Amino acid sequence: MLNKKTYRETIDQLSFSADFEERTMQLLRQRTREAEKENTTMKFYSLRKLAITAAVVAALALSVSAALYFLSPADVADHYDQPLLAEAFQSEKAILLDETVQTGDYDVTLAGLVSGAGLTSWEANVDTSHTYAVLMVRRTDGQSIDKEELGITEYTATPLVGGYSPQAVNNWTLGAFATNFVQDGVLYYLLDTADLSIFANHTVYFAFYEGSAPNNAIFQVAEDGSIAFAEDFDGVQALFVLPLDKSLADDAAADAFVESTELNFWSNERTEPEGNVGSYTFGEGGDSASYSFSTASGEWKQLTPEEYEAYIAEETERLRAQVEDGVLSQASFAITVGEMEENLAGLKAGSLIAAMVTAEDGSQTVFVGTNPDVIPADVQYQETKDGISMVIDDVKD
Amino acid sequence: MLLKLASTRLTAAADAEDAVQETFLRLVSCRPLFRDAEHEKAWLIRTTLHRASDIRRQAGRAALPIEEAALENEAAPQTESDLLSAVRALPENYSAVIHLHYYEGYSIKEIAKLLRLPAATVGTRLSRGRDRLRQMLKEEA
Repeated sequence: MLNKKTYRETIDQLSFSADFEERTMQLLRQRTREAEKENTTMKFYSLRKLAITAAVVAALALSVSAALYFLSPADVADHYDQPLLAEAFQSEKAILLDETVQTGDYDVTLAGLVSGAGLTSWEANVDTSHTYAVLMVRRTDGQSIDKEELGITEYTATPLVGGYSPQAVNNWTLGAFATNFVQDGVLYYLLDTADLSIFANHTVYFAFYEGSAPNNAIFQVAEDGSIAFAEDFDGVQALFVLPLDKSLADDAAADAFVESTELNFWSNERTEPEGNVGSYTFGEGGDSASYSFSTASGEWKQLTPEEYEAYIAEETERLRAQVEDGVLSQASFAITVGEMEENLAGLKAGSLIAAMVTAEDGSQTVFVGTNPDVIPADVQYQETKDGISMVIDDVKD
Repeated sequence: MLLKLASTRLTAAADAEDAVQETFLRLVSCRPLFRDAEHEKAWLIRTTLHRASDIRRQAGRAALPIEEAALENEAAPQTESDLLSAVRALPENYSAVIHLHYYEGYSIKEIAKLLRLPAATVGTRLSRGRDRLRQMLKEEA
């Protein structure tokens, strides 16, 4: 027998660590403190690279023999004792930009970037391709820069991708790792992030700015998906466009990545968020009140397979438009269309039934469920004072 | 709520706890721009499901040495119910809606909103998930 009571009893038998909530809150507080204190290297969100921080800090102590006015990206890689990365920065695969933006008291230069797998000793998975970028910042008045004045937690150098929310693609979601050092009065950043090549069919930006994770006080997104600094953002800011090789683009992988972040939403309108992490209680079940759904009052009509097929055609066009508008991902589109086609096969075979309900406001919704004539008492459509109910629970086999 | 949801995809309690912790770490790190508390709740649910799936995939790829695998098996609960095993064996699309409906009590429309799916898709997954569960449980019996 499968019903709500049985299911709840089963799930309620699960047990978790008694100190889970305490440990989690401690971890969150610790992470916040680390972000405030850390001033040498910064890890963005992901836990998996924490172990390498010590190695990078140790590498900072190494001296560099070549004393040039500006270090090349290869020199920066050498500074961290990464010969393979240095070699990659000198190869044909590297993109050397040397583009400079003046902002506030600084000249910010994106020196170059390169993508590849197994280029650094700190990456455990040598099969995973990364993108490495070197950025340098110097004072416009020629004075030496002080590392503390551009603290790595107060300033951010991150990729962003046009067409996707700045929340969805950035250092924090790409599992990036940044480190910096000052030499001859110039501040050098080395950023290690997930391979950006998959986004090459989009405009891929590299932003340097005063602030932390992207938000709408820092960035604005235009209707066409292009990203720019907010007009009233007055912090240090520089935005570069990366000339990535479009032949390396992988739209499906890009969509899948963005969907996995669950952060592909954005509003330029600034409102005070209502959500609060502290308001959640861990480990407790939610309220349970409804075991069926009711449509609004309206007309209920069972669909023939042919009518459902026509509905699929309309719905597919509607969903395709949503994909083009960036509201729906290609992956979700494919899944939903695939499921509708499976439904059609079920309707034709008689194992499923479909119903279109037209609500009082004229909106129409199509529901598909198991045909009660085929599987007894499993799904029942009932007329109620509120409309049509599809009862799908508390069924005894 | 999130721990139990993660447990529909993960056998070990410690893995479910990791999934939820990573979700909250992402929340405090990224500070997403939520419209309201409901939006945030939906994000927490979807992100927990994603993280649980990631952990499950990673665990599937990791080849444990025989001794460690044996130790893990000893540590795993031996009395896991057939129903829970069957839920975990369901395709992930089905187990999530089954859990949100049967345990959390969400209606199909509410689940559709939480998971950003058409209501009809949720209804179909719920119905098919039940069918598969019943089949699996009958086979077990």
